[in-house]
Amino acid sequence: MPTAARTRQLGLTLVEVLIALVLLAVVLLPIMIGLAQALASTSDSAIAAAATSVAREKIEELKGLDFAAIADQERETRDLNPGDGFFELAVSVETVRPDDAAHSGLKRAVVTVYRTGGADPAAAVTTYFTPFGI
Amino acid sequence: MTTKRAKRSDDGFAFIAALLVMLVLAILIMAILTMAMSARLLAGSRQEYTQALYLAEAGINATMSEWRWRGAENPPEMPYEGELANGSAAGAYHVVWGVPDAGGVVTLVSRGIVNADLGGTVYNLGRTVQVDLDTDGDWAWNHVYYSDSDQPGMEDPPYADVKGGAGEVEIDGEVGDPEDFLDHPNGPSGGVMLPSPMWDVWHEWVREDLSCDPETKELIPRDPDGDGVPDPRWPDQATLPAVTDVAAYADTDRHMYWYGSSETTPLDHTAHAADSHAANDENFFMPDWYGYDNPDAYVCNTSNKPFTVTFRDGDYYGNYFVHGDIDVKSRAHIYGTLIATGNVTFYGVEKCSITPEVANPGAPCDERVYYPAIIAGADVLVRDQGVGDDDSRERLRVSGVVWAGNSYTGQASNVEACVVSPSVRLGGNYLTRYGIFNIDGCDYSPGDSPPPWFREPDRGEMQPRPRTWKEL
Repeated sequence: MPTAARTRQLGLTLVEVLIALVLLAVVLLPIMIGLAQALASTSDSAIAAAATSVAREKIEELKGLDFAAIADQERETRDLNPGDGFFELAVSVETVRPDDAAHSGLKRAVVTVYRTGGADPAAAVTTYFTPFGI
Repeated sequence: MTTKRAKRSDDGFAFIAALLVMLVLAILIMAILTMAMSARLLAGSRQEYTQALYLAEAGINATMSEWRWRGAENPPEMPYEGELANGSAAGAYHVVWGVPDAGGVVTLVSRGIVNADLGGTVYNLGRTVQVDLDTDGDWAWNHVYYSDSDQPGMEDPPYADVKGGAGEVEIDGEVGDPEDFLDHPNGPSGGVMLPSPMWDVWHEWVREDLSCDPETKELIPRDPDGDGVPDPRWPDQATLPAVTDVAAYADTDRHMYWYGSSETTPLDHTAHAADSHAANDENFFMPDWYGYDNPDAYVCNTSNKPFTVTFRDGDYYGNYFVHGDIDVKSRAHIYGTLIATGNVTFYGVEKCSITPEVANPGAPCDERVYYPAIIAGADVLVRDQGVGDDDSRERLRVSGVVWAGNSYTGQASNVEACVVSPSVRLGGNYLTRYGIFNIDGCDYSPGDSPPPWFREPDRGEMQPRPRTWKEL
């Protein structure tokens, strides 16, 4: 009897373990997939935040230029970490009103930041510039 | 019994342990998911905040541009609004301002709005800046001097120092009638254009003959036919050696230039930005009319020695550009424009006159355009008291606009247009009026029609608009 009881008890435990493993596998698999996506999303958010900073830095750089010097710029690389050239940045400028003696010129500048080699912008900022503006 | 109960209790341990593991994992996963969502929201918020900030700045800049374009006396409608897409999001700005304070300072308040199509105020961002639009005391037109301290609204402006009693300074030939000035079609309320003081803009030949490339320090080649081959300079140009008396070179329709020595050295304008005269071994440049770091145009010449040209008794026809100062003595009559990089001083104003050129002499009187009479980079000084009655030629008579970059100080004289200068000091018996008699066969009666010096030649996109002194 003691032997039979032990056998019955061991069998139940094995079934329990198998059920537990199946349950874990079924439940954890989608959760792990979601977890991976969440981690990727966190990484993308960090990149988007960094791209916004890069765009803002470029806008401030444009502010330091003479009004006449604010013009289109081809893609140039910017680093996320030193030397990695992680971002590419482009400036598109449209003259809304030519400048004149009264300094009434107005230009629209769009700064767009991409991941290097990417087509979709990671960040974009648009503003106007006028001579002696802010 | 005790043994059985214990065994029975052990039976479900693995299953419960698995549930506990899942619970712990679920908590960890929820935490990671929450972190990911928060990071995403924060990144999005940061981007939208940045976009809203620059939308607000865009509103300020757009308003300033529009205001400058319309002229300070003609502000845009408030609120000044516009749309400006930012990436895939709709953006907008909304700018308002208050009444100028006593010093003419206006505060612009701009609000940048991201996701404008969504409504609400979550992503609205306001940015407030203070902008000195100079809407009060420094209007160029206010420098057209008037005075009758006894009349309401005709008090002396703070920048004018009037010598002599009330009534001695006249406007339109009448004393003590404020309507003459305030309601005059060319008065401040008329909003007419003032001739530009930019010597290198309003007269093409000055620009083409004297403008220098600031990079190369070389004359800009004149190529009106556009064939790539520089053409000769103006055929009537006379570039003369240093002289101190103009009489020997006076000639009809010639454009006179006086320079100094013949040394040639590169220009270092930044080293002399505050100087009224450059050093002898450097080229001279005009005053910085517009407040740029670089002068608007350079006088490109092999010399830079400023000196004084004296106009003595005689008649002189032409436009006189003097790299230095000009002195005018009694009985000198100039039919053209005096342009000096420094001062213009009148000594002994008896029977002196300045009559500028007509740009379109064949046109009917009401279409004629006259250039300014005097443009001085620094001061204009009428030293001596004139004699004779107002309409005679017994005193200094200036039949055109006077621009003085620094100050105008005048004793009794007639200025039959206006004086524009940051500082105006007038002596008694000074007369200014917006009319003139018998100038090239045309009479312009005060108040009847806009006098000719308020019409400017068509300069296309360079046509000026009413501007403040600071803008000028």
